[in-house]
Amino acid sequence: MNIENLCQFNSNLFLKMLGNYIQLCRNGLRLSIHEVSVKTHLSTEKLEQIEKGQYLLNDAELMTIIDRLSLDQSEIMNMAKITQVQEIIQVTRELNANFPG
Amino acid sequence: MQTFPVSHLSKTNSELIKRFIKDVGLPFNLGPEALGIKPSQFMQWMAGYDIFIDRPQLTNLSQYLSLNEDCIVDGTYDKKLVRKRLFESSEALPEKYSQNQFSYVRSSAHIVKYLTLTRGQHFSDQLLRSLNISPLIYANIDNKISINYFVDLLDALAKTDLSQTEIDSLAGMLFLGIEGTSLGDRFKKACNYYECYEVLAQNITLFDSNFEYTFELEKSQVLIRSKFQFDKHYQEKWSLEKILRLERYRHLLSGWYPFLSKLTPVVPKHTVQAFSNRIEASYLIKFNELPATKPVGFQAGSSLHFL
Repeated sequence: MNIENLCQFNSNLFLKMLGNYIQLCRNGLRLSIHEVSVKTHLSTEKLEQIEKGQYLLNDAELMTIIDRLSLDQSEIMNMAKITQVQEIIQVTRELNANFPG
Repeated sequence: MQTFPVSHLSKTNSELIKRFIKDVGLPFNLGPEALGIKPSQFMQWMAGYDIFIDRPQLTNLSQYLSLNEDCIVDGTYDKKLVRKRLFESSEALPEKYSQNQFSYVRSSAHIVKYLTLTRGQHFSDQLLRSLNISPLIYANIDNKISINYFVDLLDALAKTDLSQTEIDSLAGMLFLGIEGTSLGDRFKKACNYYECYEVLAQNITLFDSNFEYTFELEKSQVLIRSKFQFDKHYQEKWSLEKILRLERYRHLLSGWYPFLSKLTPVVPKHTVQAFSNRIEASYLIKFNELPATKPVGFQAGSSLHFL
């Protein structure tokens, strides 16, 4: 799993969804940001930004979070695919606009 | 999306919640958990002591019963449904969704999953509760439900902050619901458009049987015809807007099945006719006008080619 691949279509949307997902799993585990910070050695500020989708994390940081919060990697791939769908729709719209009928 | 004022509930509303609890017969041993308060507080409150019940307790109660908060306060809840949930199963469906259950929830599972991934669990749970549906219904995608639910779901989505573009894109999220399942694997094995639609023709009833489908599958094209007979289905009187919204979604969806086989999605030629007793639609896809089995890449540096 590599952050460059995951972000290739729409990094903003992907990071926002990833942030939602991390928050969801953290809440499911009933962990505070501080507790996750201790587990992952990432600062609470950075984690807050990640949950808001405002921080582009690197591969090591992503894998640490996946590992420590037991995130489902297939769900993360799904998120990237969602951004791919949005990209296809955008391209299709442009094609329809340029080649009507 | 519905928002609530920060202020606490009025005392009148607190009384309405109490009346709701008495009306539906919420067992007193479940009350504290349902409201998220201590048993002693709950009993004092029920006995008429001035215990402050505010918004969090109402939210807790609505989540506990998978009900819309508003219908608890304004008394428009379905008492039979609440009692079913309390005493039988939390997956009991409202009457209009429990009759003529010809749809599998897998046909909408991807929408709920998408909403959960993009907006969080709370958003999707709240949306389902607004339809008086328990989110647990998606625990098994073989659960069945009436098409009225899907029509209402699209209607509810149109009232949220989702743009039409985003609602249109929901059809493309089908993979979220069936990827990794045996049905998803069957689609994955298809190497071209013909094989993909062949899989669909063989398995269409795994999505729903509300519509009568005919597939005219040839090497060069597929023509899918669908017919929905009103008299065979218990349904509320759908407005033209609801019918068009449903058909718009189904039109887009019919072009997104190839995505499950890693083929570029298509926009079929579409016709729809609404009669007084039925809806007829057709979707035509000409394979020779499509890009030659160009898979949608998911590798670093890959790009999409449509021409």
